[in-house]
Order: sequence, then C-alpha cells, then structure tokens
Amino acid sequence: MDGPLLELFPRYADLEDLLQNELEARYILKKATEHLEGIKSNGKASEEEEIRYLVCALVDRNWERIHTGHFSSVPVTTRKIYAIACFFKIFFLLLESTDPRQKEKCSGILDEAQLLGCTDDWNDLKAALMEYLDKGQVETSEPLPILAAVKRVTCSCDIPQLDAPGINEFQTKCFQPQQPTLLLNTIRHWPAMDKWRDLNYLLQVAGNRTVPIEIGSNYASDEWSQQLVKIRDFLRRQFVDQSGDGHREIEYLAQHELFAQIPALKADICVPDYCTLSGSQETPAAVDIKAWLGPAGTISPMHYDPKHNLLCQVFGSKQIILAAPEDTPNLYPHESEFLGNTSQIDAAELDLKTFPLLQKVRFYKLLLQPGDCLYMPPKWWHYVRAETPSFSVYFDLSVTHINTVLTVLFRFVNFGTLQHHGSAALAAVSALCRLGRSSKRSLKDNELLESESDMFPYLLVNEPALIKAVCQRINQVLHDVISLYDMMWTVRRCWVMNHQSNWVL
Amino acid sequence: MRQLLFTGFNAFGQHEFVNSPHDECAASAGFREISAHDRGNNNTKNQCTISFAWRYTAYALGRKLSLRGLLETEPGECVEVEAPGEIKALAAGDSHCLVLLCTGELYKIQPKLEATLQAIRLENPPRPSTATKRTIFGAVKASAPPSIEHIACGTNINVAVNSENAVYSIPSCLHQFPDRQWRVQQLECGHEHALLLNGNGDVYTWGNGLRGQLGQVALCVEETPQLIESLAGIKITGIAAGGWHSAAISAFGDLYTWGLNCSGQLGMRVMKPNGLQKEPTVYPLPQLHDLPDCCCCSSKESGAKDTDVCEPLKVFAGSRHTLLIRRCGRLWASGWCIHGQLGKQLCEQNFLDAFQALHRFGADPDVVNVLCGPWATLLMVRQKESVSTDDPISSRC
Repeated sequence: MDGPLLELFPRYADLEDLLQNELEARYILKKATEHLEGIKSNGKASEEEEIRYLVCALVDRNWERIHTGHFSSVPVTTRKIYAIACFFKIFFLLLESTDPRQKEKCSGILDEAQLLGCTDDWNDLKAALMEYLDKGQVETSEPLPILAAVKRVTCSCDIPQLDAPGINEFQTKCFQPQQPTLLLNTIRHWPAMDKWRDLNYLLQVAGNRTVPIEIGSNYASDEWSQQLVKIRDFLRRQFVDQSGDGHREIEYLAQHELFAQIPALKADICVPDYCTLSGSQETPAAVDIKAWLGPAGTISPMHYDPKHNLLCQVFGSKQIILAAPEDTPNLYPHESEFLGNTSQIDAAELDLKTFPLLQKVRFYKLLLQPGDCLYMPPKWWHYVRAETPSFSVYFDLSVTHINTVLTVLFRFVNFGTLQHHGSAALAAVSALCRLGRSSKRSLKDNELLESESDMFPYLLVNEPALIKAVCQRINQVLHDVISLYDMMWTVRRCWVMNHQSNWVL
Repeated sequence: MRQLLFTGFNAFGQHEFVNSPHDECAASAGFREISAHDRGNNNTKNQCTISFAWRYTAYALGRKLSLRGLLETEPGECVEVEAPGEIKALAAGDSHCLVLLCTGELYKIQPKLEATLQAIRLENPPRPSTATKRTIFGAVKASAPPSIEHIACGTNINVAVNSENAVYSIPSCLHQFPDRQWRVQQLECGHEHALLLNGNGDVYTWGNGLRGQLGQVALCVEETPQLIESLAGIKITGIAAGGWHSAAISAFGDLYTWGLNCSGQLGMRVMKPNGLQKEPTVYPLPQLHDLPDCCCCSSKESGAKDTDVCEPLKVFAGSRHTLLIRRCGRLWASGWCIHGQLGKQLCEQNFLDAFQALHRFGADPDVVNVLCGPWATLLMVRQKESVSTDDPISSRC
C-alpha cells in the first residue's frame, strides 16, 4: 500500500463523533488508527497481531449486530462501524501480505462492507481500495463469448405499443390511465446496447465484485436459494458453454442494485425521461435501478410490485405474461406474509383443474426484445421468462418513497443540529418501516404522504437555502436507507424459501 | 472444589488465567484454567454463579457481585458491588446485567465503573379472582407473593418467570400460564428469542423468529409463549438458546436443533447437488440428529453394547456454536470456532458444520456443567482430589 492510499484512512479524530456511545469500537478503532499513524510516520508499529485480532473481532461483532432484529431497524452507526472495521481489517491483511490470494480475500471483505455496511462517509477510500485490489488481478483463463446481436422477431403483442413516445404522450397514454405499454426504440442510444453483449467487458468492469445470486430457475420453487458470488465466477458458470455437464443449475443475478455498486456500468445507461414524471420539481427524483442478468430459462413467477416501473431490455429476449390488478382474487396469491405478492400458478402452463378461477383471468402476452422497454403500472401482475441469455435494467419510479421520507424527515430533523445526521437517518428508517407495513396492508399509496406533508410547503417557501442543503444531505442518507429496505425484503424472501425447502413432515 | 476451564474470546480481560497443575491436560484441548475471584477460599472455590456478556463477565458469590472486562475505556476493568441479599442467578447482557436474589427480588446493574444495583419493579400479573385459597374454616389463606424464579436476557430481550408461572418481558407481564401444576425447569434467551422448558417436558418459545429460532412453521415475531407443536408429546429434558438458534434434548436421548445455520451451529451439513455447502440456511422446525457413534463406544466392554448408545445428555449454546455432553462425559460440538469457542481448532475452516468430538483432555475431566458465552465456552469441572457432593450452583447462559 502506498502513501496516498493510507492518507485516505480516517484518523481517530474523524471518527470521534461516530463512536461517542460505542465503547468497544472506540477502544479498538483508537488502537487501529494509532497503529496506522505510526506506520505512516516511521514505518513500523507494535502490537500488530493483537490489534489485527481486535479489528477482526469488531467486524464479527457488528456483523452480529446487523443481523439482530429487523434489517430496517439497524442503526446507521452500527453499519458505519461495520464498514470502517472492514476497511481496517483489509489494511491489516495487506500488511501481512499483498499476494493475489490475499488481495482477493480483501476484495471479498470490501464487498461485504459495501453490501452490509454503510460506506457513504468513506467513498474515496472505498474507491481507492477497490482500484488497488483490482490492480494486477490478471484474467488468466480463456475469454468469454460475445453474444450475437439477435434479429428482431415480429410477433403478436397483447398490449399497446408506442414508438419512442415523448414524455407528454407517455403521460397521457400510459402513466395517467395506468396502461401497461411496450415502448419501442427508447433506449437505442445507450452505450450499454453495444458494450454489454461482450461479456469480457462486463468481466473487466465488474468481474471482481461480489453480488447476490439466486440459484434455481424461480424464486417460489422449493430448490431456490441465494448465494453471494463473484461476478466473474457467475459469468463463467452461466455463459461459457460447458458440454457434458447435464444438470447445471440456473443462476440469476436478480433485483440487485448493481449500478450503485459499480459506477462504471452506470455510465453505460441513462435514466429514461419518463422517470421524471413521478417526482415533482421540488423533490429530487431518486430512481431505483436494478439489474437482472442471467442465462436462458430464468423465471420470475407471476407476481406484482407496488410501484410504477420500467423494464428495459439490453440484450436477449424475455417472454412476459401480464394480468390486471382487478384479477388478483383469481390469481391465487400465496397466503404467507412474505409471498403475498406472488401467485401460486404457473402462468406459462395454466392448471385449470387446481386453479379453476384462472378461466376468468385475461392474460396479456408479449415478447420483450433488445431496445424495448415495458412500462408496468403498480400492482400489475407479471410473469417473466428469459428465452435467451438476457440482461434487463429495471427502473422503479419510487415517488412514494421519496416524498414520504422527505416529509417525515422535515418533521423530525432539528435544523440546528443538522450536521448530526443520525436522527435524520433514524427518521428515514422509521418512515420506511411504516411505508413497508402500509404497502403490505395495501393501503392507498398516498395515504401516508398526505398526513405527513403539512410541514413541507411552509419550509419550502420560507427557507429555500436551507432546503437545498438539507436535500443534499438527505439524498445521501436516502440512498442508503432505500437500498437497505430492499435488501431486507430480499433477505426475507431468501429465508422463506429456505424454510419451505426444509420442512419436516 | 471445582475448576473452571475456559476457551474463547477474552480480548477485554474478562477472565484471569491462573497457572495450575491441571493446566497441561486442559491445554492439550485448547482450554485454560481461570479464577473466579472468590479469594481462593477452598470451601467455596469457584462455586460462584457466572454469566457472560460479549465485553464483560459477571461473577457472583454470596452477596458479592463483580463485573470484569471492558467497562469504559480499557480492558480488564473491574467493578465490585455488594447486593442486599444472596445472589441466586445472573443474566448478563450488552447494556445491563440482571441480578436475581434468593429472596426473589430482581435488580439490574449497568456494566460501568460507577455501577450500582437498581431494583426492578415488575408489573403485577392479572390474577383470576377464583384463585383465592381458603382454609378449611373458610378464612382466606394468605399465600406468599409469587417470587421470580428464572431470568434470562439477550440483545433485544429480557425475560423472567415467577413461581406462579407468570412470564415477564421485564418489567411487564407478557403471559400467565393458566396451568400451575407444572414448574418451569429452564429459561433461556438468544439474541432476540426466548425458550422455556416446563416440568412436563414441553418447550415454549417467543420473540423474533425470522431466522427460524422459534421452532414454529411460520417465520414471524411471536409476542407470547407458543408451544412448539412439533415437539409436543416428546418429553424434553434440556434446552439451549444460541444467538439465532435453539436446541433441545429429549428423555430418549435425541438431539434436536433449529434456527439459523450460518456457521454450522445446527450441526446440519447440507450439500447442494454441485457439492458446495448450502448457505445460509434456516431450519424453522426442530431437526432430529443422528449423531455419529461416540469414540468411547469402541472401548466399551462387550455385553451391554447393543443397547448402549452414548446419547447426548445435555446441550449448551453460544452465539453461533453448540455443545453437547454425551453420556460417557465427552464433549461434542459444532459451529463457529474462529475465536476459539470450541477449544483447539478442529479444522482449517472457521467453523465445524457437523458435530465432532472435541480434542481429548489429558485425562477426561468430570464436567459438571458448561456455560456458553456469546463467543466462549466455560467448563465447570469437578476436581478429582476432593470429591464433593453435587454441584448446588447452576449457572446459565
């Protein structure tokens, strides 16, 4: 490790506020930061083994704290301590050795810091460590395939199609009437359209990152499970043709916030203009972007999402079957709390004997092809099956999140102590919890919003400069909280699945 | 006389090692003797009650209570307090330690240098009016007020049970078992769930069950004690609560575990078709174990062999590890071992994913009881020179 990298590590004074009420973290990180200062000034410091052990214990300890209680109620402080402890663990591991295997181990720890911890305060350090650890990791094995560009197929489509509609047309024909629509030629200009088909590009940009992968063709099946793997291993297993290996399991990089994790990939896409519809001019419209990458045959069983969303197809094609929210009673949703938004039916092969009410349902079928974009209003049921290897990008127009959280924040935050953002995060988390509960009970999305927003106009008019400063700060906190909320659901889903597969009769 | 053999996380000087003649035997298995600060009085040597939290340990003997560990700024800090009466049980948690006196009074103390005992007042449970007892002459019988019998605490949970089977989430009464024929045998807490064993051998659970800790079909939070249906009818004789997992042993010598298996703590090795271990896994329903033959069996004299399986008698659990005492007296364990929780490392990985015998001690100790801390294990061993009567102190995790 060189000087500039070491300079990015925080000093004890930088952490003092964070560690105010955390006596074990204070004791351990004080030792760790002093050790690092010692190395910076004279190259050597004592008690290295003991401090390394303490830092590892701090990582383990906060891992346990993060996994205790509801994900959404874990304090941001705990997740920050976890992240900073991970950074120092990497520091001590690199002092031990910098050979490629050690670096790979460190990459794994860095990914965990990113996935479980809160790294917002140390983005430069994170980026520098990432770069340092990726450097010199040479790709030795044979190159990955470049997927062929497929010719567009003409086929029937049961929903309206619009050719690159303008934003007004989209609003009047799709968004307001809540009409699912296939939007053609809207993402042709994305650099991703050309770049991503070359899997070696993905390997180079993202190969070293660890991501959650769903294993098994669909998440409601008994055999489904989830695992954290490196993108490199995932790409090799799923896209390199291995002949002879008969029953390779299907793995799916699904609903993951890949673009927050790997900024280089984010540069290859643009947020469609349609997403701006959901935010008002005053509120910063934050859009959730998720990646769905997998081989042919991945299935998302019939389910619905609570928000407006756009599904953009970068490569490969997907067969999609839709059903309207009005048909919900006829679609046999699972009774368990966690799978309440998922139907028990196989939409590709209707079993009318077991599920007779399906006769009443009107299904809409379509094929999503590269360059296409599907607009789905909230609560529309959808079944998605990849016909070929496929990469989709999902935008969720999370207007409700933003407004609710913002307004609740305005209510809670004491502006005098704005610097101390702990309370803001707490409020945001509690707002999200409430939102989570309300959407489960399927209340109207706006209900919370209306009751919480009375403070907002007053502040907006009277304190414009303040608003701007607050918004910037909140954006940071928000991003963090929203990904946490989504992760909570992913993890829950994972538990449910595992539990079903292990029933004892 | 008993000896305390410790292994596990001790970075904050929670435990003071002593040099003893027995050290070599224990060291071969990765354990070291610790002293319990009772001034070396031989009659009461190490007869104290102990409870582990992550950063400190609480010891009590008679009325004396001491907390050792990282209390404010430095490791090895110690605070000593005298309780108003003899201490019956301790339950050490992150933010406070519960102290139960023999009189049934309950106190708490914060782990800091200027710590004092604070009395806890519990809410009265609703009492049915029909419960009034009368003498044969019709006068109202003055019954003694119920006293607290069991306590336990975790990260997000503090529980107590009184002599009339009222269950508290301290300080409020959660539940009153209508049935007063049975007594509560054991009460244990994980990070966020609780287990209760009654004299009939039934197990009740409540708290956060999102990681399968509760042994119930649905993963959810249960506010009040719920019978584990799948163990109903099986007489359970011992229970243990780990961080996010639970274990039970039946009168037939069967072992059951359930909950989170992220570090092998359930001892369930599950492989996927491709040979990789399945992870992370949650088992919400109790899983019956088929333990490997104990190594003692081969050395048994022939004759009693067929009926003589060396069944597990007791089970204990830390945050992510599980320990068994089998009938021959040997210790078996599974789970996380990176901090030395299981003594000398048994494999190259950070955890054992199936039950294995621990390293042999020089001469197998007579383990009377085991206490698991979050990341530690403490054996209470009867010293062979002076055979004492049964251990009167039961310490619980």
